Amino acid sequence: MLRGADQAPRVSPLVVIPGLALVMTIALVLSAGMGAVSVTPSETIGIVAHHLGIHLGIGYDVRADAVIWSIRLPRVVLAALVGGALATAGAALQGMFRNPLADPGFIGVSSGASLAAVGAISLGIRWLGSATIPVAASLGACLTVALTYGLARHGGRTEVITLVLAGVAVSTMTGAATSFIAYVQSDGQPRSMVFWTLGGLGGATWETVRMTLPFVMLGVLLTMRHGVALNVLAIGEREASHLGVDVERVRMELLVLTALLTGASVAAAGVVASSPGRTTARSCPPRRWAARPWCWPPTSSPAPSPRRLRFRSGF
Amino acid sequence: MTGPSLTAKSVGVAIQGRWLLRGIDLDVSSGEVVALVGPNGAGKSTLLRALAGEIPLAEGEVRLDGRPLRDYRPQELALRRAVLPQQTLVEFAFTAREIVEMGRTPHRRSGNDDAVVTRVMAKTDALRFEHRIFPSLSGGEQARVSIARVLAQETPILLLDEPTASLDLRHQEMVMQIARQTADAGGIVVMIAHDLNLAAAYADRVALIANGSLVSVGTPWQTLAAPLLETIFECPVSVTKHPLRDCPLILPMPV
Repeated sequence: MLRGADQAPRVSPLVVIPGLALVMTIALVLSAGMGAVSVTPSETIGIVAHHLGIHLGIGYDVRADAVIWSIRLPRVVLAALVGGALATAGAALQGMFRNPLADPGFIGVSSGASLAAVGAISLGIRWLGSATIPVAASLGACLTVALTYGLARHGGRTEVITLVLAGVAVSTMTGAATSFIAYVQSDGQPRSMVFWTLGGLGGATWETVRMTLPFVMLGVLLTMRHGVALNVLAIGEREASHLGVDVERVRMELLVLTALLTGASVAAAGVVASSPGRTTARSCPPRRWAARPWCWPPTSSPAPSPRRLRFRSGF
Repeated sequence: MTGPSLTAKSVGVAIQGRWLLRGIDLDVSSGEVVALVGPNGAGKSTLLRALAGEIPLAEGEVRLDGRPLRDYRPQELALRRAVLPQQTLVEFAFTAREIVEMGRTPHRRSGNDDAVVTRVMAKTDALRFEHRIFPSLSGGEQARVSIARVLAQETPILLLDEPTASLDLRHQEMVMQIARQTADAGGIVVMIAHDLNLAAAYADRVALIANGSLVSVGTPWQTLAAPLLETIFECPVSVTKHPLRDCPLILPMPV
């Protein structure tokens, strides 16, 4: 909200959504070009077009092709997915808690996911091969949310304040457990554990994107179905239930969806801090829920090519 | 088809063993404005919430159009009755118009939402600030927007908790006239009123509630009688005839 302005800026979603989509595409192309091997935007577009079978006749370096297609583009696309997932989860929680500061960290989901991942790494579990850790992270997210919800439930209802308190308690406990495991570990494993607790998109491949995409798409689409309910919840639970919204059921469904989205994000990129979820969703109030969420992703990698971290999101 | 009906039979509400309401019998039929009056903490808001289906009953039942409330799904209830709570706290930057549009939620598939919203906002004199952000409005302006939201739901039954609380003279009369018009069109209005004179002027019947019981139900002349009011409100009153309207005029005296 602008200081001193009590008039809402009237920009139609029909302008905002395509506008943000355009900005995001530009950001993707530009960030793909940054790094140790510098690639121009037109080369990037040419490379993508070539792989999609479109012939634009733009020449490019073969080395650039390898860097862009195999290394950077998966990272950048994954960043967009993860950013979108976290923004959607953040906005859902803001509507649910009726607080512009809410984010997935409130319900302990990201720390639960990283505890599960760290636990699986330290126990050396590889039951599902390379998918083990992401699946473990997602399961951890779901279990933590279930625990938070179960703790907060009383007489068939959950109070919002109790949910927050339970979430804080659960994330503190899981955080402590994660630190303990890292402390107790032998030298070989902590590096991957550090990855999980810090987060990062460094190791992203198209495989990672393929595995994450269905979860994110499913989560985002299902959350959008609750768009109207979320807007109405913003004026109060009583008012929402008077208007026919089944508040308890919506809350439960949104918690599950938040777990799904955050679990998928943590599985793909470690605990990419809960602040993206807050910042991305906050910059545009969750009003136009009927429209598609787009997200300007957090683009970062631990090493060797550091990049800037930028956020934006819109609905 | 006959008009709407709202009936409370032996309604009792308890919290942790303490009775908030007990033995409430109230029958409201189509075309009536019923005012709930009584001292603070008497149970008026609790009764309104029981009539709205918000709280579980320890005893008795409430029937809307002949069916028990618990048999209704939330969406069905939302099409039959609208509730105005005492306060609405909004932390997000919705405009006044967007708040009123939320009242159309139960009618999600209908196409004339814009027309309805404009009409009800004009009725509560809220059109002049329809594009201002709700949290920036004054208490009275917010109240008028909330009333518009309730009207936008287009239900035959209105349950209003102190609708005139923050309103100035002109808008108090305006809201009471809206209530009167709703009832005259065949609807039902049950409202909690602290202003006994507004209740006397506009209500068909007044229900006096004290300590969780229904002390008296009847016409304004019957219920708003000096001896009864003095006992219940613990305050001396003088009741005369209103000089311009055919209803009692209640004047509190110094305690």
